Amino acid sequence: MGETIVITSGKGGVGKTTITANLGISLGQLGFSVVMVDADIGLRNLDLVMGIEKKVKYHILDVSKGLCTLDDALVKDTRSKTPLCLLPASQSHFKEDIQKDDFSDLIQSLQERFQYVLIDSPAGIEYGFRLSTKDANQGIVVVNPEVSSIRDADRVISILEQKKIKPIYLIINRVNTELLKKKEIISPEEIQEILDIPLLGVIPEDPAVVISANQGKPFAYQTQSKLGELFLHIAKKLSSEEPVMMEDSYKAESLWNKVKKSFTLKK
Amino acid sequence: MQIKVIQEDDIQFKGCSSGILILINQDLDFEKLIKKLIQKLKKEKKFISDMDLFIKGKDRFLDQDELGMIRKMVRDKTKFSILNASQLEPELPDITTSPARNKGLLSSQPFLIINHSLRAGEEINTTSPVILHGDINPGAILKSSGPVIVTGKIKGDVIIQNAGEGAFVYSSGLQPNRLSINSIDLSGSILIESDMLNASIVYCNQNAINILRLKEDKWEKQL
Ligand SMILES: Nc1ncnc2c1ncn2[C@@H]1O[C@H](COP(=O)(O)OP(=O)(O)O)[C@@H](O)[C@H]1O
Ligand SMILES: [Mg+2]
Repeated sequence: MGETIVITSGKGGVGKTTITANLGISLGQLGFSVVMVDADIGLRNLDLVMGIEKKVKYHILDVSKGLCTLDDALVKDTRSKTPLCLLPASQSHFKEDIQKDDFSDLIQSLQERFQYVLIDSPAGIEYGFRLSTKDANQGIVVVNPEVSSIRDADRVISILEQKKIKPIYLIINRVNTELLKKKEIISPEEIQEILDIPLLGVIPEDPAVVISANQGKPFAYQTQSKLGELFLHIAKKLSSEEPVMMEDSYKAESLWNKVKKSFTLKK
Repeated sequence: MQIKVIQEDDIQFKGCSSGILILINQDLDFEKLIKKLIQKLKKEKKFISDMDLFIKGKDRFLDQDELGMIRKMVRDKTKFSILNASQLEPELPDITTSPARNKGLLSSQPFLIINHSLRAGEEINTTSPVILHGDINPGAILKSSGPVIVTGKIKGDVIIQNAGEGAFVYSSGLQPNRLSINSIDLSGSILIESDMLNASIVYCNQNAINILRLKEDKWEKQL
């Protein structure tokens, strides 16, 4: 059974789709078979960011309605050496148009065939979010260094925790290094201290991200580039059996974890 | 309202009907610390028999032996029942009340123990006094009718209502969005008091907001 990971954030536009696409590719480069599910029904994006929109013939609702088979709908990314597929969202429907059980059945079939099922969740915490998180056993919460994004992420983490999704990882995206130096934005350390979940990576604000998305050439395919390397690193952390520790400048252990560890009193 | 900062001692006690919170300056020589603690305990004895004792620490932690000595001493000198730290570990149910409470002289409510941070959108509404191991994040709300002890930081809302005279809030870092005790809004006063990143106990009496702190920042606290 494959790992099913939901990529979510509460707030929109923080980088969920960008991260799903590039993480999928990087996991593929590590030799895993990966399927990405665009759960943002009605606002189909993942195929564009991947640059495979022209190959989309069917979508998730066609499968659930029995209009085509799952295989008909899965779009293969031929640039990848390992099986890397996308189950596209529909552009014209609404989130509520897919039944929960139908969605779960689809995810289950995918879990049987792929080592990783990445679910790109829509923004918000409504039906589409609930759908995306329903069958996930792990979570990645994407946050930007902004108070509103942090607040939303905290809320989402709380819901994922209640659903017993574990582990829940953090990716801090769009960190403007200039502003960070000038201390004009909230630092990754502060964000991690508040959210208190293991950090997978910190991604800088970089115009190359927008350019690669517009060209449909995900940067994760450029393994020599800084961003490509970063995503390979994130994929390694995610897939390693080792517990995630922040070997870089960002502390994995928040103060609170240290405090917890230090309970020395035992009966 | 007047704000009073009390910061002259190496050991600070703050009692309520459910127990007593003890802040200890850990930089103190251990022998001295024990002596001072005994003195304090003797002085306060009439208030503190038959209560819950809770030990946890920050920064420099007392080692197993030192903690053991303190526990034994406190047990010998008083009739404390000890809230064991193992009750506070994560594998236990998230919310428990203290089974260690004695059916003692006091008819007070046992503590509600919460072993996780409160995240944005989470709200706890209780009439019990509360010990929360973790932070209260921005956007989270804790309402209680008794004292509130937060081992981490308070950045969200803490509202204590109908709690009577003994109500207090303890936190290792007070940066609340909203903090009120018995309808007195303290958020403003706490902002004025710049040093709120240090561990502090805040309570009100007739004409002042009191902020109790250790002489030094380093401490061990017990309840
Ligand atoms: N690290 C980054 N640097 C610059 N732009 C980014 C970065 N991450 C995402 N973006 C841009 O932000 C926009 C929103 O990203 P997207 O992945 O669609 O977010 P979401 O799926 O969370 O709504 C896109 O235009 C994307 O190219
Ligand atoms: Mg998206």
